[in-house]
Amino acid sequence: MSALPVQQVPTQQGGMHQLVQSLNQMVHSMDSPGKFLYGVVMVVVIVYSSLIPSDYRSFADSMLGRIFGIAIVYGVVEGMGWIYGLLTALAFLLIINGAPSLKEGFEGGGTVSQKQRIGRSWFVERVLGENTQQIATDRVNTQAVQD
Amino acid sequence: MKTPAWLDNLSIHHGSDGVFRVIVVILASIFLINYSSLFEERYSKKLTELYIHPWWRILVVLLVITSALWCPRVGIIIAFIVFFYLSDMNTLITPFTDYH
Repeated sequence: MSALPVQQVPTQQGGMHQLVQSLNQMVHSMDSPGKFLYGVVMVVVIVYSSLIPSDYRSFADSMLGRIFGIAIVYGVVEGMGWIYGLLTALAFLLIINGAPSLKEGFEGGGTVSQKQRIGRSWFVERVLGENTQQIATDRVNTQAVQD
Repeated sequence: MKTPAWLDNLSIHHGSDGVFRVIVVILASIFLINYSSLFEERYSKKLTELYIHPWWRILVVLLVITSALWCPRVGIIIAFIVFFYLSDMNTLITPFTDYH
């Protein structure tokens, strides 16, 4: 008795099947949830970097903060990969960049006499929303008009 | 055909992908030098107006990620451009009274 030839039934490769397969591949090739979450946090920090309070920025701009920042970037590059490190560096630089560093007139080395502000604030200060703590001088030297 | 040594060092290979990477690197470098190195060089009105929208800034950061996934050199240059863009825009929208 001769055996009947076994006929191979072609497997159906529809669009839905390919979509599920590609989704499965994408899920497998994705990073771990921890890394993914860290990446999302970094994106949020970069996007809303202008809303970070100036206290945190000042700390990040200090010597200790910079050493911490560089160490964190290095650790992320070594542990998570360079793309996460790039995002971390971007976030760190944007935080440092917005650190308050402009001090009005009192960074000159002590030649300017600092005086405490006395009395009510000036009209221009109220209009511009300035909160004056100290002034450089309370005297104005004028000279007569000369031809 | 053997790839020249200097192209091997840059990991830029022949083919349309390699050529396109070189073109993007050159264009991004020109943008970086022109806009990012000079604070006085004004960005286009569209870029300035779009900055206030968070979704635009998310897209800009996603551009960095996709560029870095595609090609490290392109990713680094795009990251520089995005950093200077966000930094300049952040400076422009910060009122002077916040500097205390």
